[in-house]
Amino acid sequence: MPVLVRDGTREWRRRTSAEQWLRFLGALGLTGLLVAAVSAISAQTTWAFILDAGLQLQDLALRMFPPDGAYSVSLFRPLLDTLHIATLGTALGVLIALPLAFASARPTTPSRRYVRPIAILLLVTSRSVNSIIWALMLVVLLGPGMLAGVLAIAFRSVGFVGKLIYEAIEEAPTLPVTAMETTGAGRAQALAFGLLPQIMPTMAGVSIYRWEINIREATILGLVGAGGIGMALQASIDALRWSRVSVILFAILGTVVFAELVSARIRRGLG
Amino acid sequence: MGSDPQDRPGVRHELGVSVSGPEHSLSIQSLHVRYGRGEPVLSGASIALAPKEIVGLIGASGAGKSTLLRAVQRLVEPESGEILLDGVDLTKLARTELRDARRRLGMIFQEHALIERLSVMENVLTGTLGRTGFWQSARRRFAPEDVTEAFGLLDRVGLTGLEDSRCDELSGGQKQRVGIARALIQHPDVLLVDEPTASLDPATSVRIMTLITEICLERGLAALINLHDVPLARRFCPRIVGLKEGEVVFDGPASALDDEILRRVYGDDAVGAPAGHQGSPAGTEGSGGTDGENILGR
Ligand SMILES: Nc1ncnc2c1ncn2[C@@H]1O[C@H](COP(=O)(O)OP(=O)(O)OP(=O)(O)O)[C@@H](O)[C@H]1O
Ligand SMILES: [Mg+2]
Repeated sequence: MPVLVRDGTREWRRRTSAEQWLRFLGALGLTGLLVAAVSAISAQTTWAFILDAGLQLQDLALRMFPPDGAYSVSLFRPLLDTLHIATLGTALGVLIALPLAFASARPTTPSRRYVRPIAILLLVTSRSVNSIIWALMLVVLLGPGMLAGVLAIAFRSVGFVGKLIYEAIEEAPTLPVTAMETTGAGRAQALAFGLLPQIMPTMAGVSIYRWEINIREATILGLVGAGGIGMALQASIDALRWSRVSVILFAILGTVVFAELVSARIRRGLG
Repeated sequence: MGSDPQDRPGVRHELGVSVSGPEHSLSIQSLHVRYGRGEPVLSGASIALAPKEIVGLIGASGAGKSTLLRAVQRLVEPESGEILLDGVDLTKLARTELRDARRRLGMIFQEHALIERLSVMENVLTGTLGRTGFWQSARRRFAPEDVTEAFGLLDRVGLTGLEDSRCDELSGGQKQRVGIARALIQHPDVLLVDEPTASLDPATSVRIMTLITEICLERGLAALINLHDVPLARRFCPRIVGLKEGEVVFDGPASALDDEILRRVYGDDAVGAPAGHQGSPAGTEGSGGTDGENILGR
């Protein structure tokens, strides 16, 4: 109890003594963990490499400049591919995420005992595997190319979009759904009118936000053969054509900035 | 796109004109309700509404007034008891029959329970969901005669011209009017009204209560109206039922409501010693009665 009685007057403290000791021990443990981590990393580091990193950077920068301007023309196609992968992947991901979100949310799931845990597990699985790892596996399955990239983006997006939508469903007031049921509406109608309009802004906002993230992710999928501008990057690095690498990096930067601007503008418009 | 709505000889109510159809009654008999394994909230409450009768249900916060209305709609399943709508026991209905029964019980909520992001017209038309197919409603293809009726109802409740406004732009009183129109387009046989004025100012409260009771008279509807505000209940409800801790402790004409009964319903603190105007004998009903600073007057 944070309230103590001493000499007849009541004292108030934020925490009890036991709580204070627990917090102190917790802080001690965390500090120890930090020290252990730093020493482990340090033991595995070749310090000679770090010491001449400055020189290496200078060298790399010199080789990257001047950028190979003429090469930028041939980047148009892979950049477009990257946009396509991100957009198609997001659309597919949202499509798969929607039913999973409804199956995961307590108020809408068909069964809390069976369906809900499975749906949540699928969402967690999707999220816990990075898109580049999805891409690695899918390239093995389907061969290199854009299809693997689209599916990798979609599978990674399902968990993100699904989780945010199902949280929105759980947080939405239930009274409008109840009101719809009292009109004699069926369950699906009650949800379509009482719930859907409430979660619409979240659905749109989350999808667009995920699209923006996916543009960034799609730029690297090519490193494992899943299409887009990453393929060009990989090829240029392999061939040590650093003046092309710099062009590609600038192109990626431009695309990502563009995507963020579009996303921010649309999301501001959603109310 | 379907024919002109005027062509169809309607069995429906024509725009607020009174209909002297069959008379409908609601009878609640020894209703027992509890949430989960908690304490009983209703322990054997019984209320019978004769056709066209307007009954005010009063009681302290937590007495179970809202629970009673929710149980009639079977939003909470009663443990035992009967809910007879024209003699049919609602507690025994299967899912699809229950939908039709719910359609016949128009519900008006304290927090109006509108869908804030939809327009006034869409909100009113949701009252027709019980008779509109899923895909028609999802595509907002409501029956032309329902749309015509919705316009008529908006005129009736005083919202002419506001059909395209989004509900979150409306005032509390206007939202309550939308809720009333939504309940009426269901073509209900009985109205269940849960504290329609609890979030409104006194003048607006009187206007809303006037509207509800007028509409009940026009359409010959019976209504069960939960009210916090005793003067308002006295003024608008000829018959009052007092609920205390899940049991009916008073059932009689509004004129019989005196200090003694109010103490029985609300407890001893309800009627303070200096509150002379509160406890004055019935007959002051017409005077507004919404000015009281008394506990009972909110
Ligand atoms: N969903 C619920 N789950 C559990 N208990 C509930 C629930 N709803 C209401 N109760 C309990 O049931 C009792 C009666 O509540 P109810 O809302 O019916 O009272 P009320 O008479 O309408 O009160 P008020 O005047 O404050 O609206 C209260 O004790 C409340 O805590
Ligand atoms: Mg209540």
